[in-house]
Amino acid sequence: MTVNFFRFASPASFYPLARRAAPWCFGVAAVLLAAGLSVGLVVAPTDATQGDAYRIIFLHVPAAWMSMFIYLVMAFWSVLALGYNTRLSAMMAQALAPTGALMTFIALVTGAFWGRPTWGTYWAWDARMTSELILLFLYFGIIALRNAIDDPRRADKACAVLTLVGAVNIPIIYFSVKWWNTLHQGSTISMTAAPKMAQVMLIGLVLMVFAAWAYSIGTALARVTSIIVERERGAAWVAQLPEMHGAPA
Amino acid sequence: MSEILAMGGYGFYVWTAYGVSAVAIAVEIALLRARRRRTLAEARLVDAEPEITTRSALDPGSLA
Repeated sequence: MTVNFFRFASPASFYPLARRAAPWCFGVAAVLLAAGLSVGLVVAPTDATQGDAYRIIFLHVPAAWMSMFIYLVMAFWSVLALGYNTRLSAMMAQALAPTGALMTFIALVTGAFWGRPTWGTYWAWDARMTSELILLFLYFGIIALRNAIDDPRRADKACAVLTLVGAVNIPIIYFSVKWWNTLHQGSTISMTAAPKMAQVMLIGLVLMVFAAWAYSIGTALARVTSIIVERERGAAWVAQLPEMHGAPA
Repeated sequence: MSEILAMGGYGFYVWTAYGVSAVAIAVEIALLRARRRRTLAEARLVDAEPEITTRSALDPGSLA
């Protein structure tokens, strides 16, 4: 069986798919979040050196990973938007930016409240934290740039270029703890070595990571349905949607 | 229960981190819902506007 994925490059055919998938993503996210929180806050034992302060890891690490990964996905959609001039690619990039900013904000705030009891400070201008703060400003900049340009197609191109220029920051964040001597610790979990943490803590962390994934996909899909209607309103297929005629939004 | 709230003396840091994150997520979800309602309301307005038609100068009797 072959599926023509380009069919879903049209906003009109992607809209019903996104609209149906979004609530499922939120449902999966809620289940994983409940499981992850109960493992992380109740089941997992107290850490030998950090005490219970370490429990912030269950928010901090998933949010920090998502903040970088969402940016990479935005860069991917931006390449497609510039290369193929596909509208939906640019809409997906647009839909991801606020969730990326949220994840970056959570990573920074939880990091600060983890840093104070363990390092003795809420904030330091070290390479990891500074580059993550720049990521937050990049997300804000991309959102602001779009709002500043009236023509959506011009905004698509400008935002795609800014996203790709800003992508240089992602390897800087990721490798900052290797390249520079930072207050922030190196990675505890890597692809090439066994994780340096207890198994039950790792299970809680993995649940929270997948919860963050499901939540981010859900918000991106939910937001892109609004973006599609904003940009396609007046089209016959939008006028025929049941939610345009009193069905639940 | 009080043990979980105390977090071994780190309760303030742990619960502030979790609380701020929960509020931030709640705000995003509220904004998403508000945008969805506003978008559909605006699209209904566009839909309700009468179609723009112009009368041709060459043939005033017809609608181009």
